[in-house]
Amino acid sequence: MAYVLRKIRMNRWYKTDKVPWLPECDLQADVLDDLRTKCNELSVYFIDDNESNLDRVIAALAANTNTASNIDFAVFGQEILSEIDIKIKKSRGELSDDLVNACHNDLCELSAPKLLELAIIIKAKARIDRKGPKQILNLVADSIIKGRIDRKRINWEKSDMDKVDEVISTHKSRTTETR
Amino acid sequence: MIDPEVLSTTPSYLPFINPENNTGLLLDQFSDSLFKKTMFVWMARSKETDAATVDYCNEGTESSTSQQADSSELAKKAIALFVSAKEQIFEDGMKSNFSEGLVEFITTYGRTAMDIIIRQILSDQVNYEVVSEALRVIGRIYHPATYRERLWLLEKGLYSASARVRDGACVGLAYLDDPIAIEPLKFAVDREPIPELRKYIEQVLSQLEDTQNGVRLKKDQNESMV
Repeated sequence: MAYVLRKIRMNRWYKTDKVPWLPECDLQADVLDDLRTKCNELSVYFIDDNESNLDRVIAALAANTNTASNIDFAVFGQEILSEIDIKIKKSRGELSDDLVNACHNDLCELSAPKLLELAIIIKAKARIDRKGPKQILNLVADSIIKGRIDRKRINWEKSDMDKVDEVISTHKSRTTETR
Repeated sequence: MIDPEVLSTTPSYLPFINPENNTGLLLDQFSDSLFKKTMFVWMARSKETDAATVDYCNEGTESSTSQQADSSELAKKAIALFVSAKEQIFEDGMKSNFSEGLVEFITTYGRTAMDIIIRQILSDQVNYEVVSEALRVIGRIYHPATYRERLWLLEKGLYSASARVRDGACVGLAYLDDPIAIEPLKFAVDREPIPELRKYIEQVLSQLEDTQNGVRLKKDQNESMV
């Protein structure tokens, strides 16, 4: 069974964050910021069973931002969607990696209660994780080296791109040394 | 004992230095602040330690691009910036009006701006989400003239009562990538109650230790070449 990935901000989802006014195990309303819908649809990416495309999807998501930042994400089993009767619609993504775009799907026909149900189940069952800024530089550099992402399509600031180039040149010099 | 020279360059907003012996520094005394009930100890750095961070080169001098301005006017600007941020939704990697405004404010007004921002953040009148975002921005910008103040604020953020603020501080320190933050992060790991955040602090610690090892390796290579 494949997994579903949604980009989030990790600090809104802490399972044990003790917020004085919030009943235990309840959700902070701010998590809904991470589940903003358009036309009642929510953009997600499918991840392989063995998560072999996880880093690639994250690199593509990162390359679509303005700055080389951390990327936080929630990953949960696809079966959760059928458990709460959420429909999936295949739709092409708009990232700079075509293979990742093919993994894109929309969760559709979402009502507000359904979205809340999804939020609750994400908090309870999803793996919430983060790739830090330095890991992101490495992942994006790797995707450029492997020709998955066109460097020209990344809209990061020059200082960020300089860091990516540094990672790429270090990688190239290591490869040359190995040979 | 804090080096008097370090003290002379310590920002004026540091209310924690015990003038009796230049050592005791408890933020508990800073009542009603965002970081109250925390055990913040400001570890004054020796000159040798500071030398490890090359970005301190401009310490004591304002950036040539920084402008002088009336501080009450600047405080008003900062308050407006933080108030308007409350209505914004932040997403990792995406610029916001707030992040761009904050970068411009710091790079234009330098250490005066940081002094105001620090007061604003410590006043406990700023929304935690906004503080968290501010700390990320503060870690990300390149502005040597305000490096010490930014590092100081990020280290302090690790002691916040809010997990979101601690998280923002941790991300900010990951951007700075300065091994000088290793010790504060070690303290932070030990007392962090949220497993996910603890895991991330450990990740940042490991990153900074790698950076430190890389710096040492470079230094050793240079020395052996000499």
